[in-house]
Amino acid sequence: MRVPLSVLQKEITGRALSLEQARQYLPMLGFPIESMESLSGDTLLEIETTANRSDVLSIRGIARDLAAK
Amino acid sequence: MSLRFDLLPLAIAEAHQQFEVWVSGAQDLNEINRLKGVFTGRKASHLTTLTELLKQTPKESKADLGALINHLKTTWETSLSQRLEQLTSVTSSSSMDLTLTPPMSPQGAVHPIQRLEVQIVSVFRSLGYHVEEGPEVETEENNFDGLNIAPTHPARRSSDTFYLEAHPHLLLRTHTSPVQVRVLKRLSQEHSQGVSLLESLGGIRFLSPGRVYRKDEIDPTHSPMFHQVEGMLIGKNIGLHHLKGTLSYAMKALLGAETDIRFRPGYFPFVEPGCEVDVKCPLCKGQGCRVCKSSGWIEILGAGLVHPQVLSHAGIDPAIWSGFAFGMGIERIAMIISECPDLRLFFENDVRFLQSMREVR
Repeated sequence: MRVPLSVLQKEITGRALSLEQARQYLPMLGFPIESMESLSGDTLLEIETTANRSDVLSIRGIARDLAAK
Repeated sequence: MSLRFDLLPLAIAEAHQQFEVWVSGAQDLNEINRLKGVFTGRKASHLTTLTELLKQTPKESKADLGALINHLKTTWETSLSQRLEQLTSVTSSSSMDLTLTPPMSPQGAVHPIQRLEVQIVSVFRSLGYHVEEGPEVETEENNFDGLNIAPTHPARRSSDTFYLEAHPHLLLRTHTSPVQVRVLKRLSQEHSQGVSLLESLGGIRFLSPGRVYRKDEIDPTHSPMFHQVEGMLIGKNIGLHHLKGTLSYAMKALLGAETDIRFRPGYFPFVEPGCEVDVKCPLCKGQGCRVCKSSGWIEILGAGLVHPQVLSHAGIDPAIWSGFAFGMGIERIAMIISECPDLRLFFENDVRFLQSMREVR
């Protein structure tokens, strides 16, 4: 699933999320980053999800997991 | 060579004298052959020269000298062949060194995949695990249903799994997990004096190594046949801490005392919770290298706590019993520790490759 970093940052309120943090936290939450791509000042993250986690098949769902970290 | 006819007797005497010296001095077969040419050859030999001279000899002495030359010829020939015989018999008896080590035929060795399998098994043996084996042709029930893999799961498709043409419910096992289903069923079904085998044992721990089959195209990291080792432990109040302690110990024993492991959430239908287990890269010690893609960690195991569905499917009460399971691909680990970039090398059995693998621990 492709997720723009800027949207993740917007969804997580109350604290900042750096690219470095996203790269560190996502794999440890069970969502390995397949690839990364720079796109007009933003970073597009290709994230792998597992079949039991349909709740993270949206950017908001991923943001919620990340926010708990 | 030109000699006057009246010198023929002298020439005969000289030639013979020379012959005797050379023949007794000859040390090998080549020399004998050379002397044969020089003395009795058909062209430009001592014998032909003497015969030429004989033609110029006056009639009265021709007969005597002719007979002498003929006698000379047979003498030379017999003495040459005698010397030859002498030399060959000496050669064969004195050159035999009975203390010499005979040439050894090349020694065989255990295949690197099998050797690694034995290493893994021996590590877990020290933890009280034993080996359980099962057939490579499995029922769909043991391979999928018993492991909580949904009837619609993509891995069941005939494009991913080898089904037997004549028996559509039989397949080549896609993992060694059906062995666990078999063992669990046996534990719950076998009773003595009203007590199940599981109850009387108080739990079980075992490994199931073996060959598995998937419909994958052959490439550097895929093969339609490869090897797995899976392990399972069933007991009471078994949790993730038992799993982590076990794997932490086993990976240290297998890859070196400084080896560290970490758990990441993962998903397999037959465990809950499920996790992927990373090992700190044994090549760069976590510094980041080509093999671990500069992350410092390498994923080598899948693991988790046995899913309650798996237990109840086998007739075991998940309210009483719990356990953990883990599995790893042997080729994958072999490729990592030997830094071998191509899986196919393990199956081509090129002796040069296998010999190079001998030095890898």
